[in-house]
Amino acid sequence: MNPEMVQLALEVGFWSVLVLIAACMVVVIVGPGNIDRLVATDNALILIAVDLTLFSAARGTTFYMDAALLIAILSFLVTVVVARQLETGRIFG
Amino acid sequence: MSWLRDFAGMLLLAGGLLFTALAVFGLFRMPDVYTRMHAGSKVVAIGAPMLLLGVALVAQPEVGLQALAILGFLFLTAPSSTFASARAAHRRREPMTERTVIDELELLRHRDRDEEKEPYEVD
Repeated sequence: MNPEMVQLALEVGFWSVLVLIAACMVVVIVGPGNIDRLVATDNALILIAVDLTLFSAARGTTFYMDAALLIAILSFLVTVVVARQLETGRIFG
Repeated sequence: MSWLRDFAGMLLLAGGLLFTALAVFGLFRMPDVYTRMHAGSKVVAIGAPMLLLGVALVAQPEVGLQALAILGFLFLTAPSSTFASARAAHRRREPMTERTVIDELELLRHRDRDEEKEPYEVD
């Protein structure tokens, strides 16, 4: 495999995952219920982390990897807190 | 053996893209909240790990190691976040589709209520 083919695969993966993130954001906006919006937000955040990894590998830099790790951590926190708010109506106490 | 590593990485990238696209399609297609959650969790379970493993195979080692770190963190946190959203959906009485056969959690809740226990103690 020549490096140009790997580069092309990474670029195609980056743009395809970007389209899938847009589809998740459509579910976030028009989704039938609040739980659907929560699940779509979780998926969109994880896909954003994966997309930053693909972008970083395609451009040959490590600059975006810290942001990807931070977004992966924050997606867990966002999902747990919003699920608790939707379930009990409160977050603290 | 560099060509074999690149080939395996590109195969993993293609498979991850396929699974992620099918999971996002399931978010639009499925009839109720629980089945949509079942389809959407394939992003975390299959799609993102395949994409991250593919990046770890084809990219330079600095990016690949951090991709593996993100993968380990996803495997640690994804089950509990999916559990939290599924429990919120069931406690909010989100409606199920008409083709649902059995809701075992609801049956268990009624059985516990008959035995004078408090089944859903919050906190």
